[in-house]
Amino acid sequence: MAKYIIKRILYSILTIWCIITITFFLMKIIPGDPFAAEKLPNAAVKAAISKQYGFDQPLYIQYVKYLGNFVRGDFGISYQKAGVTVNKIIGDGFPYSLTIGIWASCLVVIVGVSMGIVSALRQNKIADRLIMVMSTLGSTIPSFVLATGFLYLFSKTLGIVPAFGVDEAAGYIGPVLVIGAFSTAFITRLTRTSILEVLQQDYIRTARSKGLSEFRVIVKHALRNALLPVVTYVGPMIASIVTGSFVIEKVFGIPGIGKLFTESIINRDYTMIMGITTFFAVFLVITVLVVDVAYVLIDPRIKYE
Amino acid sequence: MSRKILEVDQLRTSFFTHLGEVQAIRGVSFCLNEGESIGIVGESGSGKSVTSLSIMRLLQHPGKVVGGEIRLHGENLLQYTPQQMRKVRGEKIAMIFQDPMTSMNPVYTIGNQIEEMILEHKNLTKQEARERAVEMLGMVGIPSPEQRLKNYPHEFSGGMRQRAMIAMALSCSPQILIADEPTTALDVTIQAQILRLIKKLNEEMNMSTILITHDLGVVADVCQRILVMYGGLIMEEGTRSQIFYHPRHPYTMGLLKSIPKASDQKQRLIPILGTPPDLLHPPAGCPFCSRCSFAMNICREKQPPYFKDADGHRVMCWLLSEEAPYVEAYEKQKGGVRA
Repeated sequence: MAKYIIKRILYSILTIWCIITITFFLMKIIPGDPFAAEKLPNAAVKAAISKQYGFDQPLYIQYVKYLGNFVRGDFGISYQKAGVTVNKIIGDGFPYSLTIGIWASCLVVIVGVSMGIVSALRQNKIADRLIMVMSTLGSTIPSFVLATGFLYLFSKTLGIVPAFGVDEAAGYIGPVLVIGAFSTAFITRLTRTSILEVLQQDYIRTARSKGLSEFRVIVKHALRNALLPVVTYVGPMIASIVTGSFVIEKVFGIPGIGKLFTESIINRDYTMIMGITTFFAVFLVITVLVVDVAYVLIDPRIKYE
Repeated sequence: MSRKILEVDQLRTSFFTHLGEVQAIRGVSFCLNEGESIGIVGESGSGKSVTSLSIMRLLQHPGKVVGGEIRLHGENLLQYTPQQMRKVRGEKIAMIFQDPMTSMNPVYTIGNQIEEMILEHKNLTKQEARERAVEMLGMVGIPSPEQRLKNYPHEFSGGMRQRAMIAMALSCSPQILIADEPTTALDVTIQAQILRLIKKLNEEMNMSTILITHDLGVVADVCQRILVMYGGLIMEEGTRSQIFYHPRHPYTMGLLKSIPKASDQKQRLIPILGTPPDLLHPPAGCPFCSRCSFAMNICREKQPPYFKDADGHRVMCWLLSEEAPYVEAYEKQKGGVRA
């Protein structure tokens, strides 16, 4: 097991290196740079700034330098917010996204899986139909519509939650629900389909023929097998939820990391783009690693050579 | 004389599909005596497996028993509550299935799955259940059972898995074992081993067995009595020698003619032409008449009753009626196809 994990970590490092490299060169290919000419008084100033930030050097030197800094955990200084390190900006924004992300992930997993189970066990009955209607809505309504609707109903009309910001705990309710809506709907369907499929398996019939209670058949024999595809989806989903959403953060006024990322691309804030992309990449690779390890624990057929 | 342990009386089972009611079993009656081993043979879709699932009440939606009775020691299982039925499954009637590859849960060890069944029905501690599981695995011929208990199903070969399934099924000493095509998914050499094992355990544990198969060779080895099913009905019932040496039903004769023989003579196998009846719209008469070379007018119009040929030998065929004409080809064949 330890050998497997070490091997996976080495692969993960390779993956992260690929992501950094691709992002670095893609970013440089985009026309424009953080110090576009129209914003600066004259060419001399531009040349001076370029020299200071190392833009006058060949691309490969910039790349090697960046990698060197990255290994030391230094993402550099933001080009837009003068003097502030990227590490600090991420450190300030990420906790908001993380809090929302963790709550949303809990919501997704707990509500999604249990609704999926109920739906599968009550197949084609009223509860199932209701849940299916809800999950169809959840996965088709765009999140900004949900967000606006939520604010209109609970903030403007009922006044239960603040309309903007997360200064009080109630402010988190909206973003958590809206961010989790799509994945909850998706997991509900995934769990339902998966359980219905597993219930058709021969070993479920065997379990019933042994005289086990229906509860035991479902909980012991069906769920563990049915949750495999769900676990596969949950890993990357948590990574994507936790890394924030530009739209949601904008609508609810949250200073999260999703907003930072989008703004940095628009501003060609090279160090910010690189910093956040790499941060996301590391995060994603870790969750995928955790999922793979979880997989081995759930299904003994999967070998960690 | 042996006592009746299980009686199936006019059992009817249907599947309610969106096309309509598929009548998979259309009035099946038979009984099973204590310590006896019977075989149900028939082609795919003849209702063999549905019969066994009906007895266990394990039919899945849209399947449903629509009539008849299944009596275990005189008590109608169809009136049992789900709780009572759970006590029957595994403890009184155990079942093994066709495909040992998929019949065990891949994420639990063999030991876990056997112990689970023992703990469900017997008042034993975990330790005692483990000992019982080891004993059972040893009994079905799995070497070093203590270690093998910790294996997962994918670490067993097909034959070993079927042995483990048998060990599990017999772990609570059931009175009846239903084996639904237990050897179909196995190699021929393994088939023989498994059949010998079932036969041996059947005798040792004084258990009654229902063996369901499409392979006449399988029942010839193991079963004392054979039921031939077709189109949801029992076409012929008799002892092993009655069915193999004095078959009376044209369908049974056809089945026997389609088995290759291990003789030097080169002989063409004779297939039964045509296709089985559509049970969505079952025929009014004999379900086999469209494929039967001796079919008469009455065969198309009216389902034949059972005619008794000899003691314990019943045949659902108009040819056995006293009013039936003399058919030379038929009389020739019934003298013993395998003789």
